[in-house]
This record gives sequence, structure tokens and C-alpha cells, in this order.
Amino acid sequence: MTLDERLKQLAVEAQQSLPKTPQRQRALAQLVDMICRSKRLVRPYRGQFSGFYEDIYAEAQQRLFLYICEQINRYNPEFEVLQWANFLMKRRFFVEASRDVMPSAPKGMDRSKIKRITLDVLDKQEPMDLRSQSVPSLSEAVIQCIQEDRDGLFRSTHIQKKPEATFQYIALHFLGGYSWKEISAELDVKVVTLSSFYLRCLTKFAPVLKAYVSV
Amino acid sequence: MTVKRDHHTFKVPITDAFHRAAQEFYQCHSDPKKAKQIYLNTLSVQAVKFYLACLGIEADLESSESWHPVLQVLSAPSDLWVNDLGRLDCRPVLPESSTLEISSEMRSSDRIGYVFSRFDTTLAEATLLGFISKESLAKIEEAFIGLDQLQPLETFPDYLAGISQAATVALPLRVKLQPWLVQVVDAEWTSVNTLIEAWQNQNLALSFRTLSVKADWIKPARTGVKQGKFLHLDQVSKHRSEDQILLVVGIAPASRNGPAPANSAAADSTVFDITIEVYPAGEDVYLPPTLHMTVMDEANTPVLQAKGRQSEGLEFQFSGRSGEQFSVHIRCEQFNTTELFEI
Repeated sequence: MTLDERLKQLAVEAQQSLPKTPQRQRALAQLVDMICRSKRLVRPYRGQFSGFYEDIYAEAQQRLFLYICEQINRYNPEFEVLQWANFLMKRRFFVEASRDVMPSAPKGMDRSKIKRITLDVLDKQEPMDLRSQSVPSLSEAVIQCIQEDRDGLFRSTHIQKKPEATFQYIALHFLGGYSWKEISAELDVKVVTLSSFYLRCLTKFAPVLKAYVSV
Repeated sequence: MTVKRDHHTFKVPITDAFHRAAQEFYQCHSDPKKAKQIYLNTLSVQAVKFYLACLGIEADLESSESWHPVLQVLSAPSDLWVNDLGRLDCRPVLPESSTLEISSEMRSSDRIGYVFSRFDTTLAEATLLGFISKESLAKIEEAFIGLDQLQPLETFPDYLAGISQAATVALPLRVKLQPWLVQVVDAEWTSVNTLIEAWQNQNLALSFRTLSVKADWIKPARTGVKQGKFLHLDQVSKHRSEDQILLVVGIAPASRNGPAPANSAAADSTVFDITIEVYPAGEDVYLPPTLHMTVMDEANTPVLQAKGRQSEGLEFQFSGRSGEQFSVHIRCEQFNTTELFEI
């Protein structure tokens, strides 16, 4: 089966199954993935939009794929899927994406600052390079908030029958760089119990924590 | 070009908008290792959200723990709140890695599943590789698994459909309220006084003062009947009384008859005052802030809504005619229940 045949088969399969059913979702996901990998999706206006092209294209692809998934019933099987997709990309989504991407970059601003960071950069760069040094670190603010424990919540919530294993104790040790293993040995509580209690506490305290530490 | 049919993946083109969100969170963390983790988490959460959007499934970033810097400090979450289903974890996979760590946090978390996305070195695209369901995770004993052990992505829609079905099948029976007035009460409901006693016995550890304060909040029914039952918000460990709430429903003949609707066919039907209350019944003095209670009419249209917001209790009052139906929907994180009533 050729790529075009397979794409058409998937598109028709999606059209024939009811919306929101796993059959349709499976067909759509595979359809979009194959279009994306086909290397036959048109790249219109090449050589223009210097410095912005890749972002516009990524944005346009996202919009196109969402459109194909939401409006698959508009696909006419007399045409190839890629004809339909390329028509939409050229005439509609690339143009729309370029309009939305361009004004978000103020003139004269260094785009590299808000542009893509690569994995290499993530490995080398200190995150502090990007922010002003005067802002106190967030983790310090969180530590302080848990130490302060304004309403006594963090020191009064503990693992059952282990009054010393409070959320406050565990969180402060965890943030202090202790591993679950070390805290587990310290408190004589199994690692699974410890992390499960800790995660449950985070979910429970999330609104309180967000309110205490304003970001 | 011919097509091989193998396990499918899902490629997501990463936009600058994704990078901007990642960068914003990245800058909140001074530890480079943590910051990198948060950057990649933020990208993978957005990539999975895009994949779900293509499937027509809604997800909410604001309700995700991964979307808040304070929670990022405390645990580096990579969850995505999938509406009405729960938290789906979106794990980034580095280009060169061939194994995945199954950490103790993963084993003890409440996630409905883990989706793994591989990034390229330029962070220009993410490829969703597959997933691990909650059930499969429980069976994995190794600390590391190979990428080839992931469940294929094409089975993910069926997995989600299964969860959402499980969440809706067990609709409870509709409880008729009028019989309560003549002392006929369904087995799972208990009179408020008996409940308070039971609750006091459960909470011997609590100080007497806290208990009596709590018990005072619940006003006894003056003319009608009030019945209640405990709901365990944490369905994983039902024995814990910590995350318990008390739901109290009251019915009384209407204190004063309001004007009857002009087109009312059942002119002789009687009007009743209905009260719906929830109280914290665990160790907390307040209701969980994320608790959300909704009363819906026969057509399932929400008519009354309130949030826990750390209050001491929530109360709804309304009137209805004999035979009218309504439901009470209570939601709190993973917990989700609907109680059906008929007056």
C-alpha cells in the first residue's frame, strides 16, 4: 500500500467512526503522525520570514493537525489527503500562523532571549543567567514558607502513628537535598509510604502553598 | 514510498509558545538540574496536551501541579489534568536514553498513567512513544525498563475510554426523600445524631473541644428529617478517616407555601424544603479547598454550586415539589461522586 492509499484509508476510517470513540481517535492520531513524517507536507513562502520561519511553520502545523482531527468529515476522498492538507497549509494555516507569530516579537528585541533553548544550552547554562539577580530564589521562599508554617498545617500533618514524620520535617529535608532513602532511614518509614504521604500532602496543600508563596 | 505497519508514535512540532512557557518556569529555579527538568517537563506536558486535543480530549493546564512553580520546587511534577479523569503524567525522554526509570514517586502517585515523549536535541519536536497504565505500573518490579516495554500508543485511546467508562458506570440508585418523613430510610443513610456519635468514637484522638465545635455546626432538623453519610475522599485508602466529609440531606414540609407555578399540572403536589450540607469529618477543621459541590436539576443543569475554599461547611437550601428529581455532585481532586434524589 502506498502512503497516499494508507492516508486515505485512515481518513475514511475516522470519518466512518463516531466522534470521541477510540476507533476514531486511533485513526486520527495515526493519520496526523503519518502526514507529519511523510516529508511531503508543503513548506510555503520559503526564504521569507527570516528568523521566524521555523516557529511559524511549527505553529501552522499544530493548527493544521488540529483542524484535520476536528474537521475530518470535510475531507473529500476523491482527493488525496496530502492534497487537502497541503492546500489548507498553504492557503490558510501558514498565513494565519504568520500573522499571529509576527506581532508577538517586538521590534528591536533580541529574539534569541525568548527563542528556543536547545538541550545543549540547558546542560550548560545556569538558569540564573536569565533572570535578574535581585529576585530571591523561589526555593528559598518555599523553604521559608514551610518553616514558618503560618497556620500550623505542615507541622501537624504526619504519617499515621509517626508523629515525628511531619510534612514539615519531610519537605524541609527533601528540599535540603536528602534522598528519600536517607529520610526513610532517619524516620524508619518505608520509602513508598514516605513518598506517597508526601505527594498526597502536596495535592492537599497545593492551594495553601500557592496562596502562601506568591510568585 | 510504501508504508510499514509498526507501532505508531505521535510527533508534535514544538512552537515558540511552548518554549516561552517552559522558559518562564525555568527561570524560577536556581538549581540547573532542577531547572532543566522543569523545562523539559513543561514542554512534554504541552506536547501531550496537544496530542489529547487532536483526540478531542480536554485537559487543563491551570489545574495541573506541573503548572505551578511552588509545586515544581517541592516535587518536579509533570502531570496534566485530563478533565474528569485525573492526572496523566507526561514524562520527557532524552534523545539518547533507551531505558526509563520507575521511581518510588511513580509507584506511590495517583496518576492515571504515564505518557513518555522523546525530544530531539534542538527541542524542536517531541515524539510520544507510548505509555504505562496505572495497572501495568503496579506490576513492574524493576527500577528501570526498556523503551520497548512501553504500551503502544495506539492502545491509549482505548485505555482512556476504559477509565472514563469506569468513572460513569456505577451510578447509584435514586434516593426517595419523602419516605424519610415517615421514618423509612435507605440503608446507607443514618440519622444525624447517630452519625455524630459514630464520628466522635472514630475521633477519640481529637480534643473534645474540636469535636463539639464541629458537632455544633450541624443544625438539627426542626420540622423534618435530616440524614447523613460519610464520604471518603481518598478512595485508595478508605480506612483513613483523615480525608472524610459528612454529607447531610434534609427534607421538611415547606414552612410557607410559595406561589404555585401558573402552569403547574400537579396543583395538589406538596412543596418541601430541602437542605444539602457538607462538613469536614476528618482531622481537618476546614473542608478541602478544592472540594466542589453542585446541585443539578432533572435535566442535569447545574442550579447551585459552591467551592470548599477552606470553609467550615457548605449548605444549600431550596424548595421542590413532590416527585421532582435532583442530583448532588461532589468533586475533590480524584474523588468524584453523584448522589441522585427524588423528593
